[in-house]
Amino acid sequence: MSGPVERAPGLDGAPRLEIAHSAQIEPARLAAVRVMVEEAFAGRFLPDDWEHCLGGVHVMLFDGDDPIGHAAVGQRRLVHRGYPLRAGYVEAVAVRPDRRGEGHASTLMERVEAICAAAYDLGALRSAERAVHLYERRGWLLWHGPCSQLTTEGLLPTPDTSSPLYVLPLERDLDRDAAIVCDPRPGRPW
Amino acid sequence: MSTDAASARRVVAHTAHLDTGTLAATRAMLHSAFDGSFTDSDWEHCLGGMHVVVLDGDEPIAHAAVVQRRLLHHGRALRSGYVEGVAVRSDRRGEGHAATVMDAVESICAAAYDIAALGATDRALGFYTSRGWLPWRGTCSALTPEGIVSTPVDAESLFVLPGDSGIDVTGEITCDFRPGELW
Repeated sequence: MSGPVERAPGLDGAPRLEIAHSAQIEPARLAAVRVMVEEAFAGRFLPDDWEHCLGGVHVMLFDGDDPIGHAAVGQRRLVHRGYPLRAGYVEAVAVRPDRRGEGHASTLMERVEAICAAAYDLGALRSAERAVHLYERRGWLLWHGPCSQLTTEGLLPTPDTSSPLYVLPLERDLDRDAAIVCDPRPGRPW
Repeated sequence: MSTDAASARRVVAHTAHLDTGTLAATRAMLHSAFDGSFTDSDWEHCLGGMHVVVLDGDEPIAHAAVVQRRLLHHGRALRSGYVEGVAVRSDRRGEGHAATVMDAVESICAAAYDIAALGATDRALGFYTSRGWLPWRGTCSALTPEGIVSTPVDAESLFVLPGDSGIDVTGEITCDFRPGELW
C-alpha cells in the first residue's frame, strides 16, 4: 500500500499534518493514535467508538512521532426524506489534553470539512457538549428533528440530548426539522 | 498515446484527493467500458471511499473503488469494503490491469475492513474466483426504511473475501440502504 496522501511538514516547530486512509497507516502508528484519543476522552472512549473511526480517512497531527490531534471521516448512509444521503461522518475529534488551546481542533476540522465537501452529500457528527461552540463557529448546524437508527427490528428512536447531532450542509437541501435515520453499526448509533 | 503497458502507473487515492479532471475522465472510461450501462447511481456508489486508478499519461485505463458499507450477518453489522466500478478500458484488456487494481483493493480491504464484497458481472466470475473470492451461496437482502427486502438476483453475483470475519457464505447477508441498485 502507498502511504499517506498528504504530509505537511510542520514549520517553526508546528505539528506535522498527515491525512491517510486506515489502510495506509502502519498498525503501530494507528495504535498510538488510538491511545491518544482514549486519553483525550478520559476513559469515555469505548472499543466500538474506535471501530467507528476505521475504514475512512484519518486527519492527524504529530509532534515528532507523538500524535497530538486526530479526527476521522467515515462513510455512512443517512436517510432523510426518503433518500439515503452519502454522509461523511466525523468521529473521534480529539486533541491531547496538554496541547489544547493552540488551534489544533480548527486545523483538523478545516481538513475534515474539505474532505466532506469533495466526497460527500453532507458532513455529520455528534458533538460533545464542550465542542458545540467550535462546530457552530465553523458553520455546523444543529439538527432539530427526530433521530433514529435503521435496524433489523425497524426504526429505533435514538434520543440523545447530551450529545446533539450537527450537520454541515453542502449541495443538498436539508430540512433540519425533519427526521434523519442512520445506518446500523455496533455500539452507539450516532 | 502510448500502448505500452509498462508506461502505466497506479494511483491510490480517496475521492476527496483525486483531482476533478481525473475523476471525470475515470467516470467517462467506466461509462464506455460498461457499454453505456453504467448509470448515475452506479457512479455515486464509487464515491466516498478509495479509488485505485491505472493511468497511462493522464488517461485512466483501469479503475476500482472501495467504499465503506455495513453488511448485516448473523446479528453483526460488519464493516465492509464494498468494491465498485471495476473496469478496464476495452482496448487495454489482457494486459493485467484488472489484477493490478484488485491487488490494491484487496490490500485496502484486508487492512481496514472486516470483510470485502462485490457484485460481479458474468464475464468476471472466473477472475474473482481465481483470486480467492467466494461466491455467496446463501440468501441476500437489503435493509430499507420499509424493512428487510429480499434481493434474490443479487445472490447469484455476490462474492466475498471473508478475511478473519468467520462469516458463513451459506447464510443470509443483508446490505444497508443506498440509492439505485442495492447491491
